Amino acid sequence: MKHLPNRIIIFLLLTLTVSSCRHRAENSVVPPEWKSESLGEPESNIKLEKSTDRMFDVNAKTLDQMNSGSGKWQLSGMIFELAVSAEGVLGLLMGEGEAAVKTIWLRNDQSSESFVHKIKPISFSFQSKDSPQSIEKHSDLLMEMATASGKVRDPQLLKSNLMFKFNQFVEMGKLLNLSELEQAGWKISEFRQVLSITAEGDVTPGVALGGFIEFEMRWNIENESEGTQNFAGIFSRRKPALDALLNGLVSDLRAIEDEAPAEYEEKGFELEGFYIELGVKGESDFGIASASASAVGKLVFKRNDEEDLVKNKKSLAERSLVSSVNIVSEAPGPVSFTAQSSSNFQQVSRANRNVFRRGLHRALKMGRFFARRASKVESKKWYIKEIEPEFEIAVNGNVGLSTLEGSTALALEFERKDEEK
Amino acid sequence: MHFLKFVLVALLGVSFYSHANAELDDVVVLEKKSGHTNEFNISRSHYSQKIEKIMNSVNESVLPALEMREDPGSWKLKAVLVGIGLNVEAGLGPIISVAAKSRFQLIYTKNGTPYTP
Repeated sequence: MKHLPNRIIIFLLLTLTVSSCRHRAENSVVPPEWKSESLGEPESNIKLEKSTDRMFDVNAKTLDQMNSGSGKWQLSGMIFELAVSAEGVLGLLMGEGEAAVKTIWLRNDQSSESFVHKIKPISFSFQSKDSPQSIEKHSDLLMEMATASGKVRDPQLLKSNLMFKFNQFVEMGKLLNLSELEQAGWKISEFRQVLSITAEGDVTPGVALGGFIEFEMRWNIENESEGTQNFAGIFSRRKPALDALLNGLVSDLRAIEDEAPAEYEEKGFELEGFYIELGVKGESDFGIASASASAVGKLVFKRNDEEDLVKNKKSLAERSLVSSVNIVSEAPGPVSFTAQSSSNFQQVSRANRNVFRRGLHRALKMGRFFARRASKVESKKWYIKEIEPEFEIAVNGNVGLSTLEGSTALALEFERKDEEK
Repeated sequence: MHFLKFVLVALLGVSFYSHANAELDDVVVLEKKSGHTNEFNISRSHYSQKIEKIMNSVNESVLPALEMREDPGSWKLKAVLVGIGLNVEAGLGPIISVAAKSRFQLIYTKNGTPYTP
């Protein structure tokens, strides 16, 4: 020890400290081939595996230690959200104004199907029979809440933007009810849109920076024509374009399923649903909204395994399938999020359908990766009920794990085991 | 002088140990703040202890209120969703704290009707 000079010890100490910091920074970076810019195969990656396992495991073990109630009410579910930073690091998401963890309490007489996480704190459900008066009632309720917060600077603008968004949403819902989708293998079950009110009176799609009231609108797709007579003019222009997009998407899902059925399942998990953000430009140019675009809503596809429909595989959709997929993205130049004008700042690109299908296949592989990691989680009282990886779509149609900073890349949903309830 | 050497060697050991276990111990937390995301490495034990403590404290305040309430009439409270905001406070080592506001959502349905999301 006498012969070991202080300078060498200090040098070694500094080297190891710097090395440790670098090591940590490099830890768990999402590989480039997982991003939408890369067309490569998103293979399993040992660093990502380790960091994903660690995050799944630490939350499972923490839940085991928690008090989960007794008597009439039980803590039944917990939801954690993961995101990818600008540097590509996958981590647990926390943030101002956001709930980092959601806990779900259910009465003991409720079944495990009563998972409520997908509903935003303020949720409005619309149906085709809703009158303009009932739509106005929804907007009045939101106006009351916004005014009570004391943050609205322009109530008139807010009222006008709210009515515009509500009516646009209802119009889209009615259009979707009329869609002639060949429901073989998949069906559209719901249309949703999350909106955020800003102090300036704007109503912006998605969660806006500085938005102070966030709410969700929902439309259950029932394929009915009731209450649609007054929209005949708009429908006749928009319906064929929307039908072509929806049938094309269902056809893409079926094609991928036929080509790579293994990617749909992992031990204990199977693909249950799929959603896309729907974008629109002008009167009738529908497409899939890319990460930067302003979407008119989220379209939820669910598996539809009814036998008679599955038999009808070679459908009209496949015979009339076009070779491109519309992608709606933000146009270059200045951007305004004012409700009425947002679609004027968007553009539609025609992405190659084969690239898009390869992108879907990539998404399934990535989803399967997380399902595999989730199936290995061990917990005494809890299990992972659902994982929801989110993806972004590039203008060329390729798909990658969502890397939009501050947005969820993966929602991890734990549920209490039956014997513990 | 000997004491200083002892301290330096001890620090060297701690640093080496920390380096060797960094990958095993740390949980990466991303905090959304003022339009950008900050990245923190938090030790697994701190993350686990803190989350458990915060959750237990929130749950212990929710549970008595739920147990005590009765639902008159035909509507019944079926589910409660509690969103808990968490912050990361950077200092000598980042620590997790509970944010000022938590969100509650109450779900009512008619008596006898199971809740379907």
